[in-house]
Amino acid sequence: MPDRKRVEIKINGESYSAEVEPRLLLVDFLRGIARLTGTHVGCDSSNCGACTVMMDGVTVKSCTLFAVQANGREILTIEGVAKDGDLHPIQQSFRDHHALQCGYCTPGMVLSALFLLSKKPNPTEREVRLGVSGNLCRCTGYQNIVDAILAAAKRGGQVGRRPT
Amino acid sequence: MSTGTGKGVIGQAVKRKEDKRLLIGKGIFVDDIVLPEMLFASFVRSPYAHARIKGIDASGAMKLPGVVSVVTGEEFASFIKPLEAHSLLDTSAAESLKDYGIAVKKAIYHGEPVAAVVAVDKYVAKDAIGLVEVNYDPLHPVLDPEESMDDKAVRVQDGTPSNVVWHRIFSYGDLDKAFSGADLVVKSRLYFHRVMTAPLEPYAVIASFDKGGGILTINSNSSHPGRDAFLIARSLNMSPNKVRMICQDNGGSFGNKNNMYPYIMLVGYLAMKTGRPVKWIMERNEHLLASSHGNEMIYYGEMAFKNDGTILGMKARMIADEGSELRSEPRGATNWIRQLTSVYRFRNIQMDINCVLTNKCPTASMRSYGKQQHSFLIESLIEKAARQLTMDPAKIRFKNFILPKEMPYKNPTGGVYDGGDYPTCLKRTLKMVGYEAWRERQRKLREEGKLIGIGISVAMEAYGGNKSQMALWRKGLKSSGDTGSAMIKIDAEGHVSASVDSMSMGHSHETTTAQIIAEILTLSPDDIDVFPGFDSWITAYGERGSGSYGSRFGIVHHGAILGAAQKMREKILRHGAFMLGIPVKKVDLVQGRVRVKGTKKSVGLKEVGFNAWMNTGVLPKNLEAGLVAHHVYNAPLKPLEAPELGRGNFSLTYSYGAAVAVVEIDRETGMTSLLKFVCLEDPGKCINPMVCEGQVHGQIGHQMSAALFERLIYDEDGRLLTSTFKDYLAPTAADLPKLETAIMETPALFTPLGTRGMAEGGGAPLVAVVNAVRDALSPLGIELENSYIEPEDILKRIRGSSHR
Repeated sequence: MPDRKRVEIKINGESYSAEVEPRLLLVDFLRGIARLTGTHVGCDSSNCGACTVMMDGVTVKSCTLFAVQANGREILTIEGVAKDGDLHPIQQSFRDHHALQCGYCTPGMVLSALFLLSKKPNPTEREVRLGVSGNLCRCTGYQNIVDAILAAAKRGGQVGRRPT
Repeated sequence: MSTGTGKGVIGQAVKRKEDKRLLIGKGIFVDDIVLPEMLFASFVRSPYAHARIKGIDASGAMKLPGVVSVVTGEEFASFIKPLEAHSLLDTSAAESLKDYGIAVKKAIYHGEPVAAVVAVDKYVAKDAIGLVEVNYDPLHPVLDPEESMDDKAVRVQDGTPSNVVWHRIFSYGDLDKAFSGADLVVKSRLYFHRVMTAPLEPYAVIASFDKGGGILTINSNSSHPGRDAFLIARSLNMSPNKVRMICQDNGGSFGNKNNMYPYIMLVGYLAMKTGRPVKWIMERNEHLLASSHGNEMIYYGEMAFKNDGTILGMKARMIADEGSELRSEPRGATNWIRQLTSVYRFRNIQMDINCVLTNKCPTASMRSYGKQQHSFLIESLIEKAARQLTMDPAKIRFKNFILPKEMPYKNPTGGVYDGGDYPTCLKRTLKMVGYEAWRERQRKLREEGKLIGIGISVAMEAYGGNKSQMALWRKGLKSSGDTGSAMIKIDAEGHVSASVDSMSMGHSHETTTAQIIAEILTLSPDDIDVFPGFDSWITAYGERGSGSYGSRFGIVHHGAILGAAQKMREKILRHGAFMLGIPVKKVDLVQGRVRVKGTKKSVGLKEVGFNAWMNTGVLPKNLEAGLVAHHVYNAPLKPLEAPELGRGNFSLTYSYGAAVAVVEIDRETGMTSLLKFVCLEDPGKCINPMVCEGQVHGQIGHQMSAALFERLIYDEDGRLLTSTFKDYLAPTAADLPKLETAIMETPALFTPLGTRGMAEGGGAPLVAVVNAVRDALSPLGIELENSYIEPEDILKRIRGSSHR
């Protein structure tokens, strides 16, 4: 077994430091060490996107990155999206449009939506569908998710802001 | 003080109570729970579909630091009794099965657990899996159910007299007359492919054993925890009272988590053995391999028609490929009996049912369990007849619908349809899609050589299952009806809370439960806390079926919530009237206050709650102290009239819906694109239309994807080729079209709120897509008999068509 490595990752603005096995997955660092369990695992093969987080402002699938790869980087997880107990406009739009049922895919979906809107503040329906096509949802048939993202975009250019 | 009046809360698109915690990443799913001293389990799985296990050497794994225990199937079998789910069947073949949930001496499907490893963390557990050496002697796998039926076929399980575990023929009406008098008989060999709903969160269990009290606590994401407790307690030789089942947030089920008790039992044993909590989180590839699959079925179907399109009768021989174990079957293979003739009026029908074992993953419940398969049979035959009679597929359906004026209609089994308007349902759906305009466009586009198809399907989905269905499988079994249970309490400060013996897996039970209670207690749903999830020690006690399946929440649980709320209302009024010093008939309940009618004099829930709990010394003898209301709703279902003949009312409600799909097939690639899709469903009264519509979207997503994307493929050696989301094609938002849906609310006649259950769809979306592809290919003379649209197959057939 190779030596353990010290990694320090800033998550939602707070620093977390630990000695980890080099093979520890980022998602296990987030869930197990930082105890931020809003990031989920649904497939282990980077298809489903339940583990989506942002690393330095770009969405990544935390089940296919090692924690050591995030050393010194800034991560945003779902726990960092709402501010002071208030839902972020994209989260509010998900609620208003009934864009979640079981809620398992929701954290990853919200982060992908946020990333999409930060790049394309006024996406077309097709762009929304492609923008979240790295995230699977088994409950909604995607219709309300697409509607929620389009509606959030219509509420102004600030939706895609990074909430840090 | 209430923030609402309760008036009209039932029927409002109230936003969900569940949303906030899920949106901020603070839901509590099983894997989020960490217990002190917790260990992690992982399973060694068979790489073979069928193999003798000659030996298991765990010594290498045990040497790995951090490994606590390796438990083989044989060890499990020395401690646990086989599950008895299959013993619902009274055939000698079924009774000879032994299901330990893990391979003992022989592995019978690819991915079957063979041994368990318990270690200090999941990485070590996974490392150790590779160090367990299993010596296999591969055997011939039985994969084709028709071959499996042969007396000479290799047996899937040792010691069984036959791979055919159940065979029965059910006949209704006069088949000979129907077929001899027919102008047209269409015949098809239809195949419904193997598919699964694959919820995003796979199975997950944490077991912990309290040696002092002898209590096994299970945190899991089962959708049927009440029943699971019974099954695993029996296998582990303990009282179900000592098995505490806890479930909270649940990452979807769609039937799939109705069948996870073998794993709960195995992990339970690991906790008992090690004396420490054991967590097991299934991985996606294990979930696709070895959770449960949907029913795979072959039908030899025939339908008799008059020239005007009238259906005279139907005969079908069904071969249900059950996989290697019976865990919920033959429920799916007999659920057709709950909606025998669907929405149509014909009365002569014969079903020849064969339940057959193969070396594949066990099948069990899946959204629209066994019913979408039955719709596929009926709707495929109707579609074929419409083409042969050159009748519009909508017209042939209108010709055969049961009409609203015939309600409540008694179908040939004795099933009593609870209202509904099938012709209006299809008319509205055709209007939504713009049917005539699409037919016109189709004519034009066909002239340009385009392959455009319009597919219609109308399907029934019976809910509120009668437990008497079990008497079909085991003679003399005395079970019938169905119940739901709910409890409401108001504490000494006036806080209202409720629990229901259901399990929500994204269904919004907290929200809709609060809506029903709010309406009766004249409150706002925000005033009512609904216990999230299920805890067998806390949740309102219901019978062993406690859990959610077959859309029973909308039927028996709504009945229970309503009943408990009405009882609570009565208690509040009596306590309030006592406090106000006047007879109960002179008070009413307004915004959660007991008010003297016609005056402003009133007492609030806070005062009533305090008096009922904390000032009980003053209460008269005839006024029960406290504010707790429990109600067990007993659905009005009778035992079957003649189980051996398949006669009786199998369901309390008969929901239905219609779907229309418009597709285009690319001649060069064989790919099908959806141009338009509409679906309408009648769930009876909607408690929350936003939730209802969301549920319909979900079932469309599953069934449309089952037709176009999702298929479980075994190779000739019985190895599952589609064991990750890279090859099992769960669709993305970019793969699905805009979903246009609508709800019509024809109240159900026999439920207290007029609700009917909903959103399993009866196969309408799936069959609409298949029928659209059939329609698109019809100018080429191509007949499709599979439920799965495979581009390669379509392309080959387009190229081979003489009409090309």
